[in-house]
Amino acid sequence: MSKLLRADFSRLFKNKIFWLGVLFMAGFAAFLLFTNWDYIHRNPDFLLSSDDFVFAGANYAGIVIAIVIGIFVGTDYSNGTIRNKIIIGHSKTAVYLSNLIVCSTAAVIMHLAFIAVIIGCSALGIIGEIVTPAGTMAWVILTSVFAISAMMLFISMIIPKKSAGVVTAMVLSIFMIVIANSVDYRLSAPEYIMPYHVSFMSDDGTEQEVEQPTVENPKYLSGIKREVCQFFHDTLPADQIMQINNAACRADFIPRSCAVIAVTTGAGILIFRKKDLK
Amino acid sequence: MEYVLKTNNLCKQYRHFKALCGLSMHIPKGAVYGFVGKNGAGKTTLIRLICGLQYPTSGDFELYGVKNTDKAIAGSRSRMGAVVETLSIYLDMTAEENLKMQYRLLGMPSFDGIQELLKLVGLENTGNKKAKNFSLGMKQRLGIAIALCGNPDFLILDEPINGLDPQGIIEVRELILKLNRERQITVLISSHILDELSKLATHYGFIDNGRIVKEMSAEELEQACRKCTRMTVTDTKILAMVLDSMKIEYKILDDTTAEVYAKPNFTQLTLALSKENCEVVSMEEHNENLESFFVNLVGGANHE
Repeated sequence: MSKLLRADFSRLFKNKIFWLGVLFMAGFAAFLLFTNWDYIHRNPDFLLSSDDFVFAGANYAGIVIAIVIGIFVGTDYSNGTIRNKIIIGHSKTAVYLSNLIVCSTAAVIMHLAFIAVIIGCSALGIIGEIVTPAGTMAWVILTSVFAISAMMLFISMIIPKKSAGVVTAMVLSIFMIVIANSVDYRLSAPEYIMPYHVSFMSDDGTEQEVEQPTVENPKYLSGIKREVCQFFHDTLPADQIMQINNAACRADFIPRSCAVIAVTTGAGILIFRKKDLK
Repeated sequence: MEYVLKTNNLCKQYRHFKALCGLSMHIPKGAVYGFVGKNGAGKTTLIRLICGLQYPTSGDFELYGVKNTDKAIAGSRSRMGAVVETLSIYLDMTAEENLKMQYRLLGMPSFDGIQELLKLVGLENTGNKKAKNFSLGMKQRLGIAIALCGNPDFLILDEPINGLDPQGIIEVRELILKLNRERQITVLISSHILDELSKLATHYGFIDNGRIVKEMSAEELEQACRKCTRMTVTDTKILAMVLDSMKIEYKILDDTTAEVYAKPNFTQLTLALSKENCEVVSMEEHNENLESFFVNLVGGANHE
């Protein structure tokens, strides 16, 4: 597989779309800081933590990763060059795993471009320091980005048409963000609507107050539904990033992301091995 | 005879369609094996199976004596190069970059030999021109150059002259002949352009409906296809006696028809037959080529 890796990495580092992705992520970090510039200056005593920006980047990185992986793998299909690898004796499993390693590395480099800009601004004192322990955060982001890459690679390897693969991967990455937002909203809904007072003017012109009783929140998810939603919310990469944005970085996200990588890669290899290449 | 490739009852089924049904073929070492069959006969399917792009539904094949189910088949495949159907080249790379990519995939220790390969296929002056700007003939030759990386002993070419102009066809033909004669590369070449194939092939395999209908050497085909005069006479026994006396080769087809090879003096022949009370009813030149041989073999219009 080292031969495949050598060839694939060489192609990656010559790929214009990949470098555009790196530039876009760095530019996007600068754009986020610029749009928050006004807030940073009006509140000099309150430094925004770098964590907010780092995780915000992870949110959007999925879309860029989907495009870059879709084009990188799709080109191999559309040019027919994936056949050259098989014809000379490389196994389909090795081809898939090599793509996984190369695409995950590409995704990490693109994300690092984003983080580098944030850390640079943090070092200059423009924004606050990173609060989350660096080790935990690095591993959570790394495994999360790897999990996104594995999912996008799965799509790109089972859909041989380049344009269809790119569009499907992009739609999936956007869909995951939308679903993550929606599930986060439902899971954070309170179980009960707390008692509150309603004031109104009575007929005799005096103000009266009525206390509303505590009622069950109809939007609250309970039982098995809640457990299933919570499981996916803790496991899917976009959902993990959503949670990290809202609260703290949790170490248990790491094994969950590893499980996502294992499942998508296992399924991808099985399908790709049985696939009739033309 | 030593064989590079032997297939044994290969079958490939796509859902309800049987592309190959019990195909057995033998490609001798050093041969240019012309693989002839009409569209949908199963030529490309067989090539895909040999290249490992698809798996057979049943049956097996041996590449350099290694069965396709054996793990060592990967080693046998590294001795093989192929251009299957559409070209497999990176369009946004130059010819040299494409070859470097293939060298990396093969794990070659250095890029020595790339210039020689480019020269061999006539692409040494393409410089920084991207493959997407190449003519079809240039792309085809680049595809062959990629297949030649790693000095394979066996080259598979699927319709290599499709869509090429006459000059391109000549270039590719000469390249294949050069590879076979100078580098002793065994070539499996499938083509619809039978006239062109007849200028290259040393062996033929005729495929129809997923089966090999006939395998033969170029000599055997020449024997079967050679020019003759088909004579209809009143008695072929007399004709045979006269032809024997004139030492002319012939083949009796029935009581009244015979094929006479070579070009006898027909005045002398008819006079000799007349003396023996044998009349010549008709004479026509019969010139069977690869195309008509193929049509006769697979049933012509009935199979279209």
